[in-house]
Amino acid sequence: MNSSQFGIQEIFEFYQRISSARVLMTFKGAFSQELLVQLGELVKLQQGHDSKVQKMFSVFVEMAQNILYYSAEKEVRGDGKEVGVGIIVIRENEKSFVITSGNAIEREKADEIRRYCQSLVEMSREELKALHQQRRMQEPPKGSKGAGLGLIDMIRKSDEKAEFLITNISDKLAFFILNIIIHKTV
Amino acid sequence: MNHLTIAGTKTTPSVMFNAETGQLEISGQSYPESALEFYQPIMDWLDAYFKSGQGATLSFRLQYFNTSSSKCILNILRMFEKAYKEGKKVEVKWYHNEADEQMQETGEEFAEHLTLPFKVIAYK
Repeated sequence: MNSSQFGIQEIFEFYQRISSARVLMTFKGAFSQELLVQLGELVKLQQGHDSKVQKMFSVFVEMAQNILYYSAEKEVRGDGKEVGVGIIVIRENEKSFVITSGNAIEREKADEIRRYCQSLVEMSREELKALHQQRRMQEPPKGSKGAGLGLIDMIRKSDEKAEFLITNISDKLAFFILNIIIHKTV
Repeated sequence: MNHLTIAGTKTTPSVMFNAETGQLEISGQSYPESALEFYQPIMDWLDAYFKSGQGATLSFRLQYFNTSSSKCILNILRMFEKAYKEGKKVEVKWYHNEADEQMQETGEEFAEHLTLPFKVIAYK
């Protein structure tokens, strides 16, 4: 896509569109650790109950680090370091913050991720808690740079049922979206 | 043996391990880019420390840690458990803000799964 297909008029429409969708903040691009820290500070400034804002901050950190580590779309920075590309959008409605992440994944892993997410979103609070505890006491899964706990942790933190969507974008890639809802008040 | 002192940053905790008194403290926040890279020197220090035969009290005062840090924290706690099983005098004090149920719950969960003196302490 060249820039002429996204002219200055479209930028205005884009602005209006995300304004009417009540987007509080969003970033699309390479998620470095430094960016995560900076954006995390802005997440902490959102207006809501302290414990809820802290919850959103921790979901934000897990989402941003998932993109940084696992996005199938990579960008090599000026200093030679490779970081993952993706998007995080924080929206609000009267009652809740809605935090959504999106990033490319390898299509060959899509089925496995879909099955895993499907099983997690269908679990009760008690089942999620038990799985979280069990996983925390185990060794991390192969290929995981973290603890293999991020998804479980985020889905546990959602005040309403977490949603996800995996959609194919090419022979090799799919796009993974995760939606977490945090109420503003306790 | 040298003390282990690491100054805290926004994403890594402050670490103050006194090799003479056995008073060890971790405080602040933990969400580094690579938790393993940050925690490895701490585990190496503890390994050498416990080999000297001394006991230790770990005061744990983290306000926030991400999931990959939680794995490293568990590994550290397991080192204390091992030292306890070897007959050393060890204790873990897990401090949490009284409003922070998540941190309390995590502390209680670790206490339940590990065999060593482990206190979960609320502060205002």
